[in-house]
Amino acid sequence: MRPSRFLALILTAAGLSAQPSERPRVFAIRDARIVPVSGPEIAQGVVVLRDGLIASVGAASEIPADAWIIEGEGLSVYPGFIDSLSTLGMPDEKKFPPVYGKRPASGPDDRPATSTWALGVDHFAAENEAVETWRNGGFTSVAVAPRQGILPGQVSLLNLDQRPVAGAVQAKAGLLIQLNAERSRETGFPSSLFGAMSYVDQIFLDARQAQQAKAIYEESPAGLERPEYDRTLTPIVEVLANNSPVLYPGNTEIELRRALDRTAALSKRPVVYGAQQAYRDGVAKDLAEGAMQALVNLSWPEAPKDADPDAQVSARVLRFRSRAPTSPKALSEASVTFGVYGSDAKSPKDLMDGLRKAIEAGLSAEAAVEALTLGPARIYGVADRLGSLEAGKIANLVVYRDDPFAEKSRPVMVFVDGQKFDMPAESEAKEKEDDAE
Amino acid sequence: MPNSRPTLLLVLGLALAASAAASTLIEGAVILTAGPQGTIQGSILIDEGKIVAVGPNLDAPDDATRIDARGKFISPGIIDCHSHIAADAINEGSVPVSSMVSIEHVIDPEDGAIYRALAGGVTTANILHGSANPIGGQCAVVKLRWGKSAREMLFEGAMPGIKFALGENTKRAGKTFHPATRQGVNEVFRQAFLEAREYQTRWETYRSDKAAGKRAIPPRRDLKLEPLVEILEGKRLVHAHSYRADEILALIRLADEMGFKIRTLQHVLEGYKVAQEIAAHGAGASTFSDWWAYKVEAFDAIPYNAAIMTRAGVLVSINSDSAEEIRHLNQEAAKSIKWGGLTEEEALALVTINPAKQLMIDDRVGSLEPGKDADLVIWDGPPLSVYAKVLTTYLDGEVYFDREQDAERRTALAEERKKLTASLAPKGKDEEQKP
Amino acid sequence: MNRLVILALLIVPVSTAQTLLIRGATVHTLAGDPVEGGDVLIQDGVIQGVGSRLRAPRGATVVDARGKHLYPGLFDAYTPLGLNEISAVGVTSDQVEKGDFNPHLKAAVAVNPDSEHIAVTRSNGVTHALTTMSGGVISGRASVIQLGGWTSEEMTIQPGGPLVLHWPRIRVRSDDKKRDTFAKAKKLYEQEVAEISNWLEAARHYALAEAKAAPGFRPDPKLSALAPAAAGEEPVLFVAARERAIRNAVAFAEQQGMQMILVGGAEAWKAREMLAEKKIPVILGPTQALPLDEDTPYDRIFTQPGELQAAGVQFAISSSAPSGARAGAPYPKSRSLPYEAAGAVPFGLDRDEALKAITVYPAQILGLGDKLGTIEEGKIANLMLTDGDPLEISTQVERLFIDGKEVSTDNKHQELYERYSQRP
Repeated sequence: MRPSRFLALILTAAGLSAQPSERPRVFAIRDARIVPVSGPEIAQGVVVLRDGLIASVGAASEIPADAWIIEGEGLSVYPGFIDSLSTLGMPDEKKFPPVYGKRPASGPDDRPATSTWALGVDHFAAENEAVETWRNGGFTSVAVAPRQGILPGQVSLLNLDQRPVAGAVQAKAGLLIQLNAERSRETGFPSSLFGAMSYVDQIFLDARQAQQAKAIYEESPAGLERPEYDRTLTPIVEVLANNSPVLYPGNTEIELRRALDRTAALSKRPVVYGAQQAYRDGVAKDLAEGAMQALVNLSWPEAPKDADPDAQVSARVLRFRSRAPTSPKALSEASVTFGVYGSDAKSPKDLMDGLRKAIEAGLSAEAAVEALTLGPARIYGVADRLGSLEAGKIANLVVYRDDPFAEKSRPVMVFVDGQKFDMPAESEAKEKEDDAE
Repeated sequence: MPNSRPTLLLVLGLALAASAAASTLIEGAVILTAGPQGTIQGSILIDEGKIVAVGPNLDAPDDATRIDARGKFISPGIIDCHSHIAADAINEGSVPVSSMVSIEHVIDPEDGAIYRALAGGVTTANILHGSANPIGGQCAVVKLRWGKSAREMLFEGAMPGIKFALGENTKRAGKTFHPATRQGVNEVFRQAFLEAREYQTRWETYRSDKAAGKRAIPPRRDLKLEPLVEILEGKRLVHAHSYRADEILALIRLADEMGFKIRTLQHVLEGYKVAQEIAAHGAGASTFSDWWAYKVEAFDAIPYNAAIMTRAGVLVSINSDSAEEIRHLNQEAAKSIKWGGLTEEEALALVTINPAKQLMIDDRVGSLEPGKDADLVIWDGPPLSVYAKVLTTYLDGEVYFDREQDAERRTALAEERKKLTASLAPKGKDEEQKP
Repeated sequence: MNRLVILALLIVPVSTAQTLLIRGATVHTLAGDPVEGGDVLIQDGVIQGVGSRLRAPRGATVVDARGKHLYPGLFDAYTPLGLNEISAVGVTSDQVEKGDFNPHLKAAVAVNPDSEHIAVTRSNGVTHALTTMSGGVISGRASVIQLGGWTSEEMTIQPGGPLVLHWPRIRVRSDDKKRDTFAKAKKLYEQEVAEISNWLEAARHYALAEAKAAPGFRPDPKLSALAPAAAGEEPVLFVAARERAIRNAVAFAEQQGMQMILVGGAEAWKAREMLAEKKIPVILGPTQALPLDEDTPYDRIFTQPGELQAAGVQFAISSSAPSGARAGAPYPKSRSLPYEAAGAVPFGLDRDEALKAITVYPAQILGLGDKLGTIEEGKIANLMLTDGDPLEISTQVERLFIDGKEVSTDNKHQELYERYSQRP
């Protein structure tokens, strides 16, 4: 590790930043183009940040005397970007296996592969370098969740500053459901897709019944059989009571329609993730009608790099590869709220490359910015405090000189919780990117 | 739409558009109705997805689309009572009772096997859970509406079904858990139905308590037991995969004991040995034409099975259990003429009206009669002959397969693939691979 | 070519129980027009004459075949018949040996004459077959058997038939690190091809050493069995499905100086001009199989035989050569052989050619055209008597003759049928 980085770490660990001794708490960016997302663009305006929050946004806002002034001529200011379903800092399978009993599960009652109580924030442990890589790519927040099992736990929305855990924006931002969990003879039930689907149906029924049973019993226990204790159900009851999002997988049209059908009985706040065939006729419209929100996977389907050149690829697969990047456009036109992520993204560049393909395929730049900001904020229920440039909101910003979606574009500076992060020099940045891949 | 519908419509021209608006008269063919009219020379009038009339001299409205079918043969759309096509999951075999899973939840409407089945004259199929366990999952009766969504494929109003399985697949020697014997398999059913009865009682008690104003906690809903309760209430059809005569008898006795009817025995390759008992219980039988010897329990299978059971008064169908066999069920039906001496009408019934009756959808499909769905097949020869092939398959009165359209579709697909491959090819050499 | 022989004079053979005169049938010789009201004289297992109003030698058994049809028995050109009893029960199978190179094994060694499959299969008119082992690269020698005889030896017409060689495939598998890229898979394939080449070369050296009685020479059954094929003295069955594999196999055979018969050939139509030009015959699999790929036309398997016919490729249709993505029923399908051939007729294959694809052409392709496949003088009397067109499902095969003796059509299925029809 290089000396300057080592020093930075020590200083950080000591609670000091690598910045000049007094960390500024008030900033004003002036004469910049401002994209609030929640309202129309401001061609030339001022953004004032104070104590980690946005103090004001406007064409001619007053600049406080104690503000550190940043000349914004030629710059554009956006809300900080949000990775809507990241694996950053989350433990891998060996360290966090799905919850199974000692014997193969013999049915839904064994609660196979279920750890609904597990929160992303409680298991987040990212190296500073990794956090920095994403922040340097313009990402100020990530949504993370445990990923092993059918009901692996809950999504947490974290800010990518020095203390993502303590500074969690929302520790319980939604319940994750996965249907492709590893299956084997050792794990027992469920061993199939429809087994996993029926298990999810059953546990939600059990949660609702547990809630009812508890209410009736607590009111006056005498004479009633007492309800069983099942720790997997309380988090589901909470999610339903708070109207938190329930994330259900669905990538192809078939899966998207299945998600619509199955979530109807589960939750009034379904969010489908994948959504790469939302471009198909009628799909986006049906998602909108079903009040379904989406997280779009920007790791578009591609031919494997080392495929057999004589292999017969079906027209259906070719169509999918060709049209998948038009899905965000279709969702946007149908007014479906969506965020974006990349299942195969190893760096923010991968994610932005995927988003650029979607823009080339017709997604408007505005809609692309919204999918990185207010879209996911709405989905995760934090739109009242994050995701747009409005007074009172958390000061997460990203500033660009060029078009953020141009190929070699890099942010100029990033603010997380009102703290300014300068971008490393060109060469250092490239080196870090190469390390990340 | 998953396939290139816009291209199809462009290429098809007026005929398709017209049939959607006006009626269609298919004239001049030999019509094997599989119904009371038997086999006649004549025409079929279709309107709004239904058969309006079948007969020698039909009147049709002036704006009817007329299809000249002289020299051709028409049969009802074939019905396959045992199939595993069009599903993304087949078995939940990790537990002895998996009645909570449902094929309806995992239908894959883009499975090419659907199209190939249409090309073989099949219009309706009973998609079943596999035979990994004694009580398997819920089935789905589907119409092969190629190009539509999973939900649109479900046969509206069809009685729900469920799969049972006996024999070698279910016992699977070497498995680590019960059941490992046929006796054990039989007990799984008894135990499951006892639990189902208890579940029924629990809910009845709760409802009567509430009605009486008592405070009560609602029981847990159990997605596994509810389909079994439906069986006891006669609201869900049991399709039981079975081979050996002894296990068939044992299941019949158990069903009698528990008070439900087996709707069909599936495969039932030794059914000919206990045909009387099957007939007495009232179960139907859905079997193979001539498969045998692939398992020990199939070693006594004979191609005369369908004929023997038919003669004993059992309602018999012949099924495919295969994405390949489904393409020539007409030929499989004909084998019962050769092996067992069924008449041509009896043979055709094995893949049309009989499976319709078994699935209790015979008010809608299975024969060409006024009021039924316009699911029919135009052949270029007698459908029970090896030399016949399907020219057109109608489903709900629309063309879902046609040889000429298929040829055009092929060309369109090839062109599309060429275009897509070109547009997806990596662009230029400036895209270097990262180290 | 019309080789109809009319016997005007009686040839007086020694009358034995082996003399048979089938009288009055429509004789479909498959070597010319059918003979209405025809007679066939058989002696010592061989057809002695075909014609009208042949005189029955003294002591001959006369079979009244008026109103019936006489056909050559069907020849299943590729099947595991006799080597498997119940496919789910491994111990009943002698189809696959361990190891990749077993040229010295002969299928006929393990044919079970009392396999229920023999009687069941011949009851539908199949009188002889090429029974084959599989697995590995060179599985062994296929054997030509007839479906009748007290012992496996009596059943075997040709124990040491052609070698079966499964041409290696380039298979990319993302879950296998050894072949998860095309480059790696191709390398593996090239190694596999090189290994075949090495074996052939070793066999040639072996033959030389044997001929010269070189000092220290030790017999090697494998190399000995491989030597004639390596020298191009006998044909080898190359099992290959895709066009690329077919072309590579053909190029290899040429380079090695080997005679090739293509087996399977699901994409043979793509190389039909080449196959016709190089006179490489094809043993196709059943038409009741699924198309190879999602976008493959639904009727590709049915149209292929007709296309091969039009291109001048000689082919036979078998019940079990690898065909398409997945064959239909999971048991030896020899009994359905006529329907596998018939399946191509509505899609362009001449009906007569379809019948020849399961009678004459298998015999010719396997070098037995002088012994089997037609009803002509000098050929083995393997015949079936039917009430109609054997390709049509409703037709009954009424009587069977194998090696000139009548063989019962009774079989396990018939017995069970009769028994349970009697149940009170």
